[in-house]
Amino acid sequence: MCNGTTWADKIDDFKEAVNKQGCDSIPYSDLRSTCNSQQDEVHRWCDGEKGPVTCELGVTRDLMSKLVSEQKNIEASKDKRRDLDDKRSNAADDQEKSRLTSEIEAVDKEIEASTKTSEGLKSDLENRKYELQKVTDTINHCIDYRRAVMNVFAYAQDKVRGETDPDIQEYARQLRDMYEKSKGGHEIQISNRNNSLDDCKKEMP
Amino acid sequence: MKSDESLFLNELRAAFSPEAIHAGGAFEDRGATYPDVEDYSRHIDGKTWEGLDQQYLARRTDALSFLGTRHLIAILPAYLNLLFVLGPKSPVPETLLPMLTKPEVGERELRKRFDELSGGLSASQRTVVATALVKFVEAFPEYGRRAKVALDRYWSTF
Repeated sequence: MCNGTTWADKIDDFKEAVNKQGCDSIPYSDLRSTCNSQQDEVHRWCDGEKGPVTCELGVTRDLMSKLVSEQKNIEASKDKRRDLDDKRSNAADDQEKSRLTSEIEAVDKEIEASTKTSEGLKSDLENRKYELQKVTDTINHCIDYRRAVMNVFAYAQDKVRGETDPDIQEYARQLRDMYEKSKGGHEIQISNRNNSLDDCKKEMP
Repeated sequence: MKSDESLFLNELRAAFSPEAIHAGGAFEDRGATYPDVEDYSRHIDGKTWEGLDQQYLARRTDALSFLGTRHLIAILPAYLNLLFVLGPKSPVPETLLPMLTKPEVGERELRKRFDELSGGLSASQRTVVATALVKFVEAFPEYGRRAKVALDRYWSTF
């Protein structure tokens, strides 16, 4: 039971809340404060302060296709080298052998360069995996905090629904309607972030 | 590309009102619990869609999920323009493209939102939305999948 002053305060809180928006529309100070602190986290994790919240598309595919092409180059060069090696073994004179040796040396250089490029691309793909993981982590935090804000309002909605005092009931009804009408916006935002997560998953090498 | 951009900007200017936006009541219908109501309202109040702070709009694209239809339409040209000014990696397409996508049968709340938005646009505004989606698919094919769905489900008829 509330004493007179606290009771009057509670009515004031409800009166005030119906004229406010956002977290300030919550008439319970503890929930209002939770809402504000969770919303601060939404800003930190969803607005880019903690890092990008979208994954660049097509980067992984480009890297993979370059790697496949480089590996094909290496295989082709190795075949060429084997062929040249056979020819050198069967060469009739020293001049021919020397020419084939030079060609083999050139192919070796090609293989070396392609191998280096290929290793670089493999490392780029590893870095890519790390970057995507980081963005995924940021989006997951963003979703968690958005959901937390939504849940605070859901909890506040339940709580105002339970208010039985006649002096409060009209305000409680207004608040309940306000919360209900704006629930969809939170759900849409969470769904949009989940779409971004899907994009990141598709990009993962 | 630059002249393409200014052509599109001219189409937006021709289709959407150049009047200042009054933020009052912007979040009344479906945004009372949006925690950035005050901040966002302050940023848009008294400005034309072309005079809005583009970086702020992009950062607070989430407001689109909470704005009432009238204000959504008033601010839509700014976000359509941002699709190209900031490109596909900004937070804008993430919210704008699903918002422009006609929901599938069964998603009643989303369908209501979409019908109100599409029904509230004039013929020339619908055409410019369709143009924006086509341009987005063409300019950023890697990111065009969602814009393509939006076109296929509704906008390609305009």
